[in-house]
Amino acid sequence: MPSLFFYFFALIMVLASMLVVLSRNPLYNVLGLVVAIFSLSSLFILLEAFFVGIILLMVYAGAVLIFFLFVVMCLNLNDPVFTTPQQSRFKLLGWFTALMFLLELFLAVKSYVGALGLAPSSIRGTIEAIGRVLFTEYLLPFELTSFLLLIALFGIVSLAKGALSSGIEEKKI
Amino acid sequence: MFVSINWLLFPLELLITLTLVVLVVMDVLLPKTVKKDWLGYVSLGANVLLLGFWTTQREVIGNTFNGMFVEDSLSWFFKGFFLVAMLFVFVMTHKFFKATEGRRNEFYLLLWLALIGMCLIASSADFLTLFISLEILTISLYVLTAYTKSDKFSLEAGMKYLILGALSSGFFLYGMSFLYGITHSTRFDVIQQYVSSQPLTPITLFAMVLIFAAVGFKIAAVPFHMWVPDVYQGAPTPVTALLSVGSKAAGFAILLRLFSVGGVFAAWHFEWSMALAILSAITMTYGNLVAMFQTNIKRLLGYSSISHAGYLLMGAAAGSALGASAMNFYLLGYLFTNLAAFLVILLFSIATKSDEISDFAGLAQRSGILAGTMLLALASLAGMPPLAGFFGKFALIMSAMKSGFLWLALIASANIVVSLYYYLMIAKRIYVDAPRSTSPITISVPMRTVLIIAMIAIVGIGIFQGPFFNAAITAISGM
Repeated sequence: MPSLFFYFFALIMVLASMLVVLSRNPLYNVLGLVVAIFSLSSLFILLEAFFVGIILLMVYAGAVLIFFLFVVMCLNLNDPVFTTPQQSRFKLLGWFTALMFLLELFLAVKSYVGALGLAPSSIRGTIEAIGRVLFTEYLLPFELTSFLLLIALFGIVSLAKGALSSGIEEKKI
Repeated sequence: MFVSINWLLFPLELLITLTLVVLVVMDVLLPKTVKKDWLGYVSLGANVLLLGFWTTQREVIGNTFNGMFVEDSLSWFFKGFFLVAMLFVFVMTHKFFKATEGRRNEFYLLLWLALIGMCLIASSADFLTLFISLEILTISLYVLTAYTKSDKFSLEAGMKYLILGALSSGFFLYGMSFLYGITHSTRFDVIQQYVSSQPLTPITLFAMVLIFAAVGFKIAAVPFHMWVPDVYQGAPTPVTALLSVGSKAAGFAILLRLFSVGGVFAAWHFEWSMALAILSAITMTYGNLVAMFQTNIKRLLGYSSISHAGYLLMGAAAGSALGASAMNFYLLGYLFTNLAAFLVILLFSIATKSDEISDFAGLAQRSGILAGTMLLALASLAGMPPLAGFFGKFALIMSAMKSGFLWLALIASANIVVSLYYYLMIAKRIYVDAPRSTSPITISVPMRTVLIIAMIAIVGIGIFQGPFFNAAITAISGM
């Protein structure tokens, strides 16, 4: 039964992802991404990784993509950039690369399945379990992410404040 | 389960973080009327003190955080390398902001964060730690690249770097997740054990290739080099210098930890070395051939840095202790050579507002010391005998030959001849061509001192290779 659910959500995810890439309407792209994230989070929940599933929903579908949607709403969708299909010389090369990558991935996974037992993790992905792991086994990487937040802060300040040009602007005021 | 933390193992990282915190607090507390020059002086002073502290850390060896953080001879070597590189970058930044009006606070803070990222990369012994350290370095570099917002090249460069960098991070994570799925661990020692006991299967090869793609992006090896020319040209010159030396060396530190002797994937080296050798040959040939047609000096050095990544990959392909120590030594020479070149470019562009090679015409008549440093740097990049670049190239080619890659050694030698052409073309412009403007460029005494130090280092490493090569050998001996 769980595997039935898996195939169901996996299929939806693949279809939604294709909508993201193939549709020419930015609105459909974003909505497709929302659906893909919903089904991805269902997959995580099927694997009993509840925390990751919920976080995915809240952060991606809830926050990031709504921002995306706002931006898309601000665009003029009748702009020829969105309506006329673009021809690229690299289209064929792109398809070839993608197919090669898929083929390699297929071969790689084929060699792997059965080589090792693929039992799901015995730990349930609750907040408690994740917190425990974060603060013991993965303490260092977890603490290091604070630097990333700091960079994001400085980056936003410098880029939003106008960085080098701001010195001149401030004088004008 | 508790984590035992040995605090004595990472004092350098703690001190760098402390410096960062002090800078942030001072920046907020000092009155706005104080000139922002202090940021440069404090950064430089702190960097010198840290370098002094680093020399006392040689005997500190061990690992902590459940083996995720390792302190050994290799990390010691690279941390010193990064600190020296940062010293030059701070000097350049100080000069850069003297000439450009603007906000410099975040620039310095981001440089310090990049330094933390580089030091952590050198000490990572776990894929998760490595990934996050890599992101600390790269994300601060994205912002630094796009820092001059008024310059559209800078913004374009930042955007390109961000998009391609995100792609390479994705590759890294994807490859890492396969390894985690197979070995149930992200730690280097556990994966190394798996590698040495199991044959290479398609899935592990797949993971390894994906991880190499991300490393290749950092070192600018050929299929992953697309960002280099635009980013090198568009980024503020101190950032370009950091990219070409610090970020590249960080990539090679990862390469040494993962793919070289004693590295994580060392046991599969035999299957893997041919791919590395081919990549090395393509990288150096491509870099050198395209560099010949450049008109912008920063872009030219971008392509030249691609070709140098190719030379350095020879050492990785050789897969011997000689190859690895040759890489370390080569990086050491490359550090001073490239930073000297970028310092000249910065000083020149401050004086003339130009990065075009044609404007370098007759530089020798306008400023003797700029012309002399540039000549020495170019000659060393090309690999002329008494200079640092020569012995490094010699050692790399020798390591390739000893491992049976005679054809690779021949291609490298041919490439060196090709590179001589375009390096010496610039030298010819500087010394032979008539200058467009005869107004002399005056260089201040502190800058003169820095240029002379760089020149002494380029010549010194070339002539007294012994101690430096020994340092390069001891760096890999503890792995």
